[in-house]
Amino acid sequence: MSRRRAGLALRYLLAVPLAAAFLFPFYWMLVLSLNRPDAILEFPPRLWPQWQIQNYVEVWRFVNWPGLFANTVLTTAGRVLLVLVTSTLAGYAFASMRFVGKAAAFGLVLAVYMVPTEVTLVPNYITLSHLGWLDSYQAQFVPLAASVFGIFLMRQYFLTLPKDLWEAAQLDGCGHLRYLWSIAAPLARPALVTIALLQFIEGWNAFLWPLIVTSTDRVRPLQVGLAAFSFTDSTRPELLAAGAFMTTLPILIVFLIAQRQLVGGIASTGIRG
Amino acid sequence: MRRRRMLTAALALLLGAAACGGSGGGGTATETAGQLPALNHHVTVSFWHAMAGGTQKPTLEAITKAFNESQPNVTVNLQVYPDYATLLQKTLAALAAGTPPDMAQCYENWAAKFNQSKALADLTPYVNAKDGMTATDLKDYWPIMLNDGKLSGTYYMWPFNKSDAVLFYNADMFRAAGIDHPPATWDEFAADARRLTIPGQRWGTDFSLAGGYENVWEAMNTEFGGSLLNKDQTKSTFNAAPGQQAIQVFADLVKGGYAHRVQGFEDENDLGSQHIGMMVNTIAGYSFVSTAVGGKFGLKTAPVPAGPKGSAVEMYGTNACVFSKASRDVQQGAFQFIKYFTNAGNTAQWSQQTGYMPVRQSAFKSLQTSFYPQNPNLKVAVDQLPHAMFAPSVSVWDQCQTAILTELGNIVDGRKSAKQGLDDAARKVDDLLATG
Amino acid sequence: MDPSAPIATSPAVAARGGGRPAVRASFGGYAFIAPAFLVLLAFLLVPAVWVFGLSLFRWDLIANNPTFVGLANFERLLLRDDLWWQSVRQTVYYTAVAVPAGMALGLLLAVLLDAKLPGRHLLRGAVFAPYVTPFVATIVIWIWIFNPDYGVLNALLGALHLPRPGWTHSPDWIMPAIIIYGIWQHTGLNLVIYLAGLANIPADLQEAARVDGAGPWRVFWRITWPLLSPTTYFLLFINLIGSFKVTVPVYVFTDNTGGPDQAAETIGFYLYQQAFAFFHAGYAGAISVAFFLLILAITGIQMRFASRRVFYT
Repeated sequence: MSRRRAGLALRYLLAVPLAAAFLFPFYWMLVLSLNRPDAILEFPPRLWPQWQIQNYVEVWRFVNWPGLFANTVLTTAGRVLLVLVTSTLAGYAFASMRFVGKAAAFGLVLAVYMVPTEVTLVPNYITLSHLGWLDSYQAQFVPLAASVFGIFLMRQYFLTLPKDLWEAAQLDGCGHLRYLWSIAAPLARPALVTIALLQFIEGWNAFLWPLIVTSTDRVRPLQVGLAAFSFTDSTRPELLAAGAFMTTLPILIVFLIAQRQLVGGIASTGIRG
Repeated sequence: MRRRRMLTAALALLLGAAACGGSGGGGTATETAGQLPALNHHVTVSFWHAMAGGTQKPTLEAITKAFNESQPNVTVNLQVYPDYATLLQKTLAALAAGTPPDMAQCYENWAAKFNQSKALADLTPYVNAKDGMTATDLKDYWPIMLNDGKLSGTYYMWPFNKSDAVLFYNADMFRAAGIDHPPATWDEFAADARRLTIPGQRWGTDFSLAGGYENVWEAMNTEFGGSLLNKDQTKSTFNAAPGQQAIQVFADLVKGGYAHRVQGFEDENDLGSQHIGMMVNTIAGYSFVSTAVGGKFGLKTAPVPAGPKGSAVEMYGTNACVFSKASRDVQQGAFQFIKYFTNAGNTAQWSQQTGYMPVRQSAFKSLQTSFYPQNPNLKVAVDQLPHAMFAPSVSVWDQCQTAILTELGNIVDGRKSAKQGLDDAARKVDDLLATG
Repeated sequence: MDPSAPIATSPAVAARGGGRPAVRASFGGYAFIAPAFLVLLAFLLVPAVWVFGLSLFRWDLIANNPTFVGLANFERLLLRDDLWWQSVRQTVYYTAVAVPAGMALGLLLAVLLDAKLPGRHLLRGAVFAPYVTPFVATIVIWIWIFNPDYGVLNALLGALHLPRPGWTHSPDWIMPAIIIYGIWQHTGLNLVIYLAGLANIPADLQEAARVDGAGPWRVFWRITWPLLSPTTYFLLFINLIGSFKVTVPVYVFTDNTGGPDQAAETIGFYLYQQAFAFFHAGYAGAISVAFFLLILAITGIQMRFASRRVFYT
């Protein structure tokens, strides 16, 4: 009994400081954001917040947060939706449908997974400009509307569905689409939620691609706006920290709410064999 | 904005020296045949700029708003970018896609690059148009700035926000340290830096691994008697003794602990928080430095210290250019905005609020009576105009500057000797010049 | 019917020997994969191939006059471009340190948290949070943490009488700074997946070993670690490729400069600069080809090396 206690105590002894170390930068973000001007340049630095709340008000003067926020929400939503649709359809097809060249098609998907996105930046930019999509919302998510990971995950999930389910549905006169929509997809809800959460995170945090394809604040997302702010004015780092905190908070909240689901979903992908 | 991006002004005449001589531009507004009539219907003009921070953004917005409201024909829409590097990237990308803005800020070597594909509009017709510039107007601009706007003798750019480097210093700290005047030479600068240093508490000055310091070194190189490139602009000459001596000033100070080696704009923060006593940087940073200082002490400016061979300062800041993809009317509208922004009243206002130099001599004169007596700090930049110099106008110069800055960092940090570092930089620059 | 075969679309199909469906019956399948394929082809595959072709040209995007130069770009890249080789070395450096460290730390934490620990989910969440938060926002703070003169990290080191590195100001320490950031960011993913992997190991195996007198270390090495190998293999794959492609942290940490003495320049960042700062489209194409081949090589090596060591139950 006490050996078990000792074991637990040892675990806490090691894990808690480590976890605290991982959380520290977030705490620091908060502290810096509440600093008085010039406080950041004091040495040694103050560990406790100075509660300069007006930083959060002042930073609104410099950056159009509501606009950026709305842009981010829009592009992220578009991305999540499209990835869900494309992954479900394709994942289902690879798991449960037969068609000529299926193995080759799947091999192609695998091959595409290896392509580093940096390679596609310039060509995609030019493609978008020919489409007239530069500096638009859709430019930020349509090129990202399919996810190989999503396809894999859905396929894996659909493969685990019992065959008699489909057979029964077929006897009832269901085609693939109907089956997918009414039976298979709802059963695959954990996978769908995982994909949605992951795409939400990637969409919210997106930086490089929006940086390249957007030029005006009308459509720019939060991270690009934040980076622009950090490059522009470095005489008020506490405002920058406040801005950073504001862009991080929403996703931290989502994370807190959905942690179990998110972690569970990611975990389920890692287990093989 | 970030006014002190590594790119610097270039004497445009260098570019097309072999080409035509004095043609283009300069005629009086009312006499030339084929003169464009004044703009008489409405156009919108998109203007991409990098005046993103401090007082630059609100001032530009205010002047633009006043322009839009003052006449019915032209509406200018501003799009801001955080710094010059981003502005260049965005503009190049837009050009590649065939959708450039109507006008943008540009450095001289950017314009050279743009015009390789004839992307810029010749401004001469608009200078000469009915609503263009009069002869008096043209003479009122500082000639050096106006000439800087020419490529091969033709007006492709117009001076917009010009600046040069000055010495910022903490007058109170100087007095307390027993220094009664700002350093006039680099020897005095080094001596002052040593006197101002209190180990563990503050340094005398900064050296920041940011583009602006590479420009400072370029001017120092001239002050020590050196040059940057050979006459054909095919080989580096900056790695000779003058260039080495110039950077050695800072290398010695950093090594001795009298100069704080930083990055980016940390020098502004250091000066403001009184961790250093002086720094050399562009006057366009004045509003940012003021913010950092926040009235805590007496901030003063002085001319950049001179070298053994005299004084030289590099001209920074950008011009405005108009893109040929825009329709003629839009181009004309864009020039109307340029004309408005650089008229005596507005250029004076711009200068007062941001620290950039007034581009008109009449504006300078009026500021001398109305503004400089109370704000002598901004006058220094203009006083240095007679010593202005320009960086080479080759289209790859910004990449060259990046290469040089890297090596300056190596030298200042003591990883390489001045000779070795500059020789390495010269190799890289020569390679860039060759592959263009 | 063979239980392991995917569901047939029609009985007629199964009647054909060998089970190859008629093309007409494939229409449904094609329709379903079409949306995903449209996007993947248009925005991933075609550009990737396009860029290979591009690498044979010299093209300054705005001047709009591509000239065929054959392998000249590759010649310049491989024989005369010091910065390219520097970026390769530095990318390998980053990967070689960040990946094992992140995986080891993730494994350690997973082993620690693999128990009925009250508050376990909070601890797991704390380590995983960095993985879901935006780069730009967190890097901006880390830059201040790493500030050599005013940052809290050096304050701590100083208080412990340890040397205070120059971090982002120093070419020797900027990559370690980015590596530390990368580990902080990625460990959570490794933790979560290792936890899942551990949960999948039948407890009775470990129990049996313990009953036989094996100490915890032995249990781990002989039973847990081999059984974790599929997980390790999977994580190694993701981590290797992900780390090799690191670009955005370099961009934000170095303010788009690549760091003092270009010490933080990675392949991804170099590619971005050539493509988007200098618009050397053809040269960027050559870099992309080289980059791609390197990634393939890593994957190939890893597959060959690791597949012999992965145990499946």
